[in-house]
Amino acid sequence: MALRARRVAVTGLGMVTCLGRNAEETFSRACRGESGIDFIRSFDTSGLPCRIGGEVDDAWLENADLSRLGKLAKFAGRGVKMLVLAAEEAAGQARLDGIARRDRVGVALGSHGENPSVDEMRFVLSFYRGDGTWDLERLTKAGGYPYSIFFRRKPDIALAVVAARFDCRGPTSSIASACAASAQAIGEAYRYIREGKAEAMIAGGCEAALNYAGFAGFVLIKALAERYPSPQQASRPFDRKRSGFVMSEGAAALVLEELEHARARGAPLLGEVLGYGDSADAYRITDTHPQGEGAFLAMKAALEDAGLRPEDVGYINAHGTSTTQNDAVETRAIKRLFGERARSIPVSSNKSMLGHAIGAAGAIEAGLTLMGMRRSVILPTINYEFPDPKCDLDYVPNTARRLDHAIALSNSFGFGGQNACLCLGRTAD
Amino acid sequence: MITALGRSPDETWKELLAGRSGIGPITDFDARGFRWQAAAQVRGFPPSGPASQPKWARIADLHTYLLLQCCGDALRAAGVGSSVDPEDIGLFVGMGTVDYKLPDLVPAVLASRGGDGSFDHAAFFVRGFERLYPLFALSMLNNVSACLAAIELGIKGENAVFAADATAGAQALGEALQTLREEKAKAVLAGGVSEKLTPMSLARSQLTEPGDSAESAGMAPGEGCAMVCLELRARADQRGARCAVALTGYGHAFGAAGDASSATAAIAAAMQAALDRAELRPDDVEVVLAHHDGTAADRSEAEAVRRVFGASSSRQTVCASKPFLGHLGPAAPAADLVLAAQALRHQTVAPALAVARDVARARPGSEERAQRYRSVLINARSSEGHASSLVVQSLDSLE
Repeated sequence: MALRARRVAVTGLGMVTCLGRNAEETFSRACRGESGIDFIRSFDTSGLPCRIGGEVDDAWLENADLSRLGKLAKFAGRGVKMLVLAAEEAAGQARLDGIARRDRVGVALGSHGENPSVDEMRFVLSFYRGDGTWDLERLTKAGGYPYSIFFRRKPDIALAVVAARFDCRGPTSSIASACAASAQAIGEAYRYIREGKAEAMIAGGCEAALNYAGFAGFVLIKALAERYPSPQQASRPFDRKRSGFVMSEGAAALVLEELEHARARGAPLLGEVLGYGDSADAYRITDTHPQGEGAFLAMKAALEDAGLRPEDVGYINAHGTSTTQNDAVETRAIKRLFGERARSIPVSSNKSMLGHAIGAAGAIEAGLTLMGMRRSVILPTINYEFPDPKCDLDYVPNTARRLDHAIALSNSFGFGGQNACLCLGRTAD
Repeated sequence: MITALGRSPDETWKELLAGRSGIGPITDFDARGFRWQAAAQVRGFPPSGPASQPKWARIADLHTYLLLQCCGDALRAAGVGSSVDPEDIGLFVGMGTVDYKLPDLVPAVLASRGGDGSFDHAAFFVRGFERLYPLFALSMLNNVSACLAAIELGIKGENAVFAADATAGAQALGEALQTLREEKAKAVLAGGVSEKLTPMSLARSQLTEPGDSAESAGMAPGEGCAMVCLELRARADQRGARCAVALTGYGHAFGAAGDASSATAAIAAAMQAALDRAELRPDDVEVVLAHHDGTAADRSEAEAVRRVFGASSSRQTVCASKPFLGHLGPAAPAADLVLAAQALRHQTVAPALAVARDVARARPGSEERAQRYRSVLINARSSEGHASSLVVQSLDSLE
C-alpha cells in the first residue's frame, strides 16, 4: 500500500506523572520499581474505603507557561496544565518550533474535561430555600454550575490550549474514549501523518480526576482497591490479591513526525509508531468481554497494521489495571493471539507503580515503552507476590529487566468496551 | 437522521422543501433570561421511553436514544446486516459535552447540609457522598453512548468518539473515510449527535461570541442525530447496494479563536485540503453548505470562501441548514451530508436551505443557480478555532 511509504517516528516525549515531573524522572523511578501511590493529600478521604491515589505535585504545575494563551489561559484546569508541561518537554526535545510550516503541525489528544467539584455541589445548594423547595428559576439561569468552569468541562479544551500554545495550525482531533483515549489519540495522529495530512503531530492526553466528586464515583461502583497493607502495595496487577485499581493523574505528550521529515531536520529519533488497532467489545457497558474478544481484536489489528507477525513482538506493555476482571481477561487475550509463545513474552504493567491515570494512561505507557526499548529495559510489575492461576504469563515481577527488544505492543482498554493497541518500534532505522 | 423536522432523511427534506423550520419555543423548561428562548427540539423521543432498557436507562439520555436509533436506521438502510462480520464494522461518532444531571447530585447535596443549612464539607465527606448516584461520573463519559450502540448492534470494529463541537462530527466522517480507504473495515457507521437541550447546554451555548449585528447574533440550538453507513464503492456495488452519494474529501485545520485572520486561514485550509483530497478544483463545486452559526466568525468563513473559490465563486450556491434545523453541534456535518445527498438526488437546494446571509456576502446574490449539481462542500468549525470540511459528490459525477 502506498501509505506505507510514510513512516512515523517519535521525535519528542514528555510526561508529568505521580512518579516524576518529566519523562526521565518518571522512567528512572519506575526502573527502580518505586511506587508513586500514597495517601491522598488534596482532599479529605476520611470515611472512604479507598484513601489512596497517585497525585502529581502541585508545585510542578506552577511551571506551566500559559502566557501566550490569552483568554484561553483561564480555561486551563489542572489536567490541561499538566499536559502543557508534558507538551513543552516533548516539543522542546523535538525542536518542534523549528518546523516553519505550522499548518503541517497538528494536535490529537485524549481528554475528558474536568469533573464536577465539591464546590460545584455547594454552589447548587445555594439555590436551596431550606424548606424543601428550590429556587429553580435562579438555578436554571445559572445552568447548574458556575459559568466560569463551562470551558474547563469541555473535552476539547485541552486541544485548543495545546494548539494555541504551540502554534499548531494543522489537523486537530479530540478523543474521549475513557481509558483508551490517549492511546487512540496517538493512533489517530499516526494515521494523519501516514496519510500525509500532517508532517508532525503533538499527541497524548491528560487526566486530573483525583478530586472528591470524581473519586467518590469510582468508590461507589467499587472499582478501586480497598484492601492494601500500604498505599504503595495497593496496585498489584496480575497478583492474586489484587482488589481493584488505584486512581492517579497525569499527562503525556509525544511528538510524532514523518520519518524523512525528521531526518532532514536532524530531529532526535526516539522510536517509531509501527501500527495501531482498535476495536469494540460490544458486550456490556460495565464489564469487559470475558474472553477478551475486543482486546484480542485490537492487538491483532495493530500487528496487521504494522505488517508484523505475533512472533515479532518482544514485549507487551499491558493495560493491567489491577482489577480482578481486566487482568485475567487481558491475559486470556494475549494467550489467544500469541499461543504457546505467550508465556515467553515479557508482559508488564506500569500501573503497578503509577496507578491508573485513566485518559492519560495510554500516552504515559506508550512513552515509557519507547524509553524502555531505547535502553533495553523492561519496566517491572511491582507488588507481584501471589501468582494467580488465571494470570500465568511472565509479568516481569518486581524488578526491571535488561532485555534487548525492538518491537512492543502497548494496550489500553476503555470503560464501555473501547480498546486500543499501539505497536511501537525501537528505532526508526 | 432524526431532526426537529422529521424522523428520517426524507421526512426532514420534505419539511425543508415546504420551507418549514424546526425552531420553536422551548417548552421543556423556563428559558426566559437565556439568549435563546427558541430551539429546534426533537420532541416525543424515544417513543417507547427509556423503561425498555432499564439496565442502562439512568446513564442514557436523549443523545443516547437518538444515536441508537440512527445507527440502527443507517445499518438497515444500507442493508449491511449479516453480510459483514461484526469486527469489520466500524463506528465513529462526534459527541457533544455530556454533563451530569442535577438529580444525580442533589440528594448528596441535601444530605450534606450543616445545622444552619449551609453546605458542610465534613458532612459531605462522611455521609453525603453516599447519596451521589454511583454512575454519575461514568455517565458523563462521552464514549458511553457509542459503546451502548456498539453493544446493541454488535459492532466490534474500528471505533472512536470525538468531542465536542461540530468539527468532532466531521472528524468522525473523515476518520471513517480513511478507515475504509485503508481497508481496516468493510463498513463504517459515522456521524454525530447533538447535546440534549437543557439549561446547562443552553447556558453553554451562550458562551459563543455573537456578532455585532442582529444578523450575526448566533444560531438557535438544535437537537438531532445523523449517522451514515459508508462503504468502499467497489464493495457496495459488488453486493448490489443502492448507493446515495460518495464522500470523497475531508480536510481540517486549526486557527486560534478570536483572531479573524487565523480563523479565515484555517477554514480556507480545511476547504482546500478537502478539495485536494477529492481531487476537485474549486470550480467543480456547485454548492457550499456553510457552517454559518450566526456568529462573528461567519465573516471569516465568508472570506475563506472568497479565498478558496476566487474568480470561480460565482458558480457556487452558498447555503446553510442551521436556520432551519438549529445548531446541531457534532451532528451538523453528518446532517449536512444527508441533506447534500438529498440535494444531489433531487437537484435542488432552495427553498430547502436558507442562503446563509453572512457567508453569501462572499458573493452577493448567491441564490440558487440553474445548473446541474454534482459536488457539495460542507464546512464545520468550533468556537475554539478548529475547522473541518467535507466533499460530497453524486455518483454519476464520478463515472
